[in-house]
Amino acid sequence: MLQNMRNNAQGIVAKVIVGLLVLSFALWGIHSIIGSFSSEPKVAEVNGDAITQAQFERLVELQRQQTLAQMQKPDPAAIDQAKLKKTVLNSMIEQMVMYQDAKNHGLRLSDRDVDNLIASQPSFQQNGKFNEQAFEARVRNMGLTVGSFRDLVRKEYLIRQIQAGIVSSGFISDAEVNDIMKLRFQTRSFKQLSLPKSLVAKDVTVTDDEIKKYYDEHPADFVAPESIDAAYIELSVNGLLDQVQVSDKALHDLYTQKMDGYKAHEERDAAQILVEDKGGEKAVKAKLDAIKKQIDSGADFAALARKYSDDVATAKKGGELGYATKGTYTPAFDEAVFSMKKGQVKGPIKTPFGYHFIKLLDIRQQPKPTFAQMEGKLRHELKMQEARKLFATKLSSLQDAVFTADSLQGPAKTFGLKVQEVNGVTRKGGAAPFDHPGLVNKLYSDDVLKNGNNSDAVHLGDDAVVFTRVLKHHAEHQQALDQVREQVKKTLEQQQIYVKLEDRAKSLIAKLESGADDNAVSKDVGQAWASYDAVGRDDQKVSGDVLKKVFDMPHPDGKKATYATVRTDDGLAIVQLDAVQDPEASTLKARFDGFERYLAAQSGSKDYYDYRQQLQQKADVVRN
Amino acid sequence: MDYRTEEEQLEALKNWWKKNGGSLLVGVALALAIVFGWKGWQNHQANQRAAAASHFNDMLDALNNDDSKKRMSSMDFIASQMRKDYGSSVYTVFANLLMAKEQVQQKQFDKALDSLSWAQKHVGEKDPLRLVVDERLARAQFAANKPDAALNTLQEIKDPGSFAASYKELEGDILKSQGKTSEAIAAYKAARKAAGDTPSPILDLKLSDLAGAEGS
Repeated sequence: MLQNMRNNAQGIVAKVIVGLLVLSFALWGIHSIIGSFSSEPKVAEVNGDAITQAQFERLVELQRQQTLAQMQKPDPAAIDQAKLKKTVLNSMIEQMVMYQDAKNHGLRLSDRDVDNLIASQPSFQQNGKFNEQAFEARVRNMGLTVGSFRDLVRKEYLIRQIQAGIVSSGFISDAEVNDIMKLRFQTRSFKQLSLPKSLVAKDVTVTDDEIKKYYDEHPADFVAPESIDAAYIELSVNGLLDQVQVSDKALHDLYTQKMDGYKAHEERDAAQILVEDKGGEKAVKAKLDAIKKQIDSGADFAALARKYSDDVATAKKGGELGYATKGTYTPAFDEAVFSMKKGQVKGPIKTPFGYHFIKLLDIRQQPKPTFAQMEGKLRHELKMQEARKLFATKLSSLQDAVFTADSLQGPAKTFGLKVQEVNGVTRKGGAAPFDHPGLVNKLYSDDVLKNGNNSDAVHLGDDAVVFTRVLKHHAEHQQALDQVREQVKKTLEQQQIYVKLEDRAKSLIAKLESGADDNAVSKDVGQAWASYDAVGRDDQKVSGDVLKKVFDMPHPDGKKATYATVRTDDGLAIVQLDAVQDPEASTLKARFDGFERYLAAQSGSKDYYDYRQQLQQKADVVRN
Repeated sequence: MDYRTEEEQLEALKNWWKKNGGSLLVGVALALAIVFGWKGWQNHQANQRAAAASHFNDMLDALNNDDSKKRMSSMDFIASQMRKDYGSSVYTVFANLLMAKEQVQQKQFDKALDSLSWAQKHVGEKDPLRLVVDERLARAQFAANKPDAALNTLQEIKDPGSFAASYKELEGDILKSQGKTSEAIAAYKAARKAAGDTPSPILDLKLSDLAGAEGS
């Protein structure tokens, strides 16, 4: 074999192969050869380009962290991992498609350009210069490597270029804007006559046959979703409050302790004039000097605040900030306020908000509260403390007890808890505490549902823990007629009421169209017409359903009104549309510019949205 | 071909070199020339790309000028330079789209149509970007009061794909302006259908106003 190769090495074929290898290494580097043979696991292939398992996992984890960080009470159990993975994969595929499109359009970004982009990001700079350590730390914090971050920057940048080209060039002609505005601000004048359900309700009867027929014809309406009757026990700090005792001595000790540190409750009322750091150093300095001069010559501080302060909210009140304790403001400001004498003025003092002049208006001491005043609060505080301790000790032994037991009764008895039940918890949740998605996930988990075990602890916030188990599992099933008879009856009654009302309305409309007197018609049903003049689409006086109908109706032909009926909460309404009005020219003119900008932007964004859809649909995606 | 001693091996090598040395040197030189030539070409391409990109960014900046005369003249200057120097770059297509937007806004409709025709000629028929360009062209033709040309542009597109809703809505607008109410309604309804679940409040406005006129 080796001998053969040596012989052939001199042959023309081998020379060509070696030549090609040399050439491809030179052009694309060794990665192009090694890379295409690598067997890294892939989660998807998009038009032939792979998304590797490693890339995918990294972003899933990143997304998970971000989701957790956004939750008010971070709870990993509440995250639907499958959904999260799907979302991440979809967005990776979408990004890949858009990036390929950018490349297909000849867009590239050299490594040096990527580096320049990164270096110009303010968040990676210190004192206006790129800081490599800051950069690497931030990238690591995001859970990325420097390499994958650069890759991301490159992709996003090129995708944005195409986006900018399509979105910023979206336009709309003046004529189109005017047409749309005419529709948007059109007004209509109409009258409305209500036909309440009571008008026909006494004539409605529903027979058993009709009920049976409806039930048979609409099986899908009577499917009960999968549900679980669940038992649960809850251990909570609040539930333990009764079991803890607080001694009088402890109460008095806590009171004394609190009163020791009471000085901190001094409050100071300050006023300020804020000069924001904008408009250039010169302008700022001029303004500061002007204010300083007037303060020194004894001008009224409140009047100056009203005139000069950039803090609009306090300026109106003469700059007064109100009483506050130490530590309320930013350090520099806080320090100044709490080192001043009453009536003194200081400044300018620099803070991140700008420059402040400060006047100390008043100092007051919160009067020391008596023990009697404090007792209730202190008792609660101590009890909560004790209950939390008890909660922590009980929790770990309760966990063990629940884990080893094959029901909740035993552990409940031992720990003085009550087994409670909630019926009909669907996968979407149920009555409290099953309005907590983490708990529902747990209830439907294999371990609890299939194996019939007690669940492990699910934390509802910091101070309560729930254990649950399945009492009874109901598969999705068809409800029997007797279970839903009343419901069907009600549905049918409503249907018949509306049929009768529609009939009534039809004959009334016929009368109106043939020229009957409006008031005679309304008298016939014992109601009065309600008239509305020049109502716009956003009108609040008219109910939403009626308003929508009014604007869906045919325009009146000359003087001949058009009619329609619309269902309302309490019956049916007849609508008589008398006139359609174009908006005033002044309305159009006043709002033209805003609308034009909005519609042009909208048009560009819509095009880009369509463009993306188009690429996604044409893409050849293989998911592994 | 077993060589027993070093001398024999050396001898064989020398012979081989005499026979093939020349052509090998030529081969190596050729390979190097190709490599450097290719690298040079790549560099040139990269420079062209970077220059076109920077012109495109200038164009976007120019768009933000509040003075409409200056805006038009600087955009016009950059765009014409790009057409001259970077005619095959997609950035120049975008520059023409931006130009057309400005021209429509300043009611220079013929010029807008020129810009868009240029873009149309420089985007392949199968390029998805073509769907954007064609839609813009039809919209500009409609604005230029050439409704028939606009309809024609729309009809020439064989497969509007994801742009179907936008196309049909524009078609409805044009038909409505020509007084062809029932055809306009049909177009709007087709647009509504193509849009699927995507909310499009403006289309709904147009449709409800006309559907009324038809009594549906």
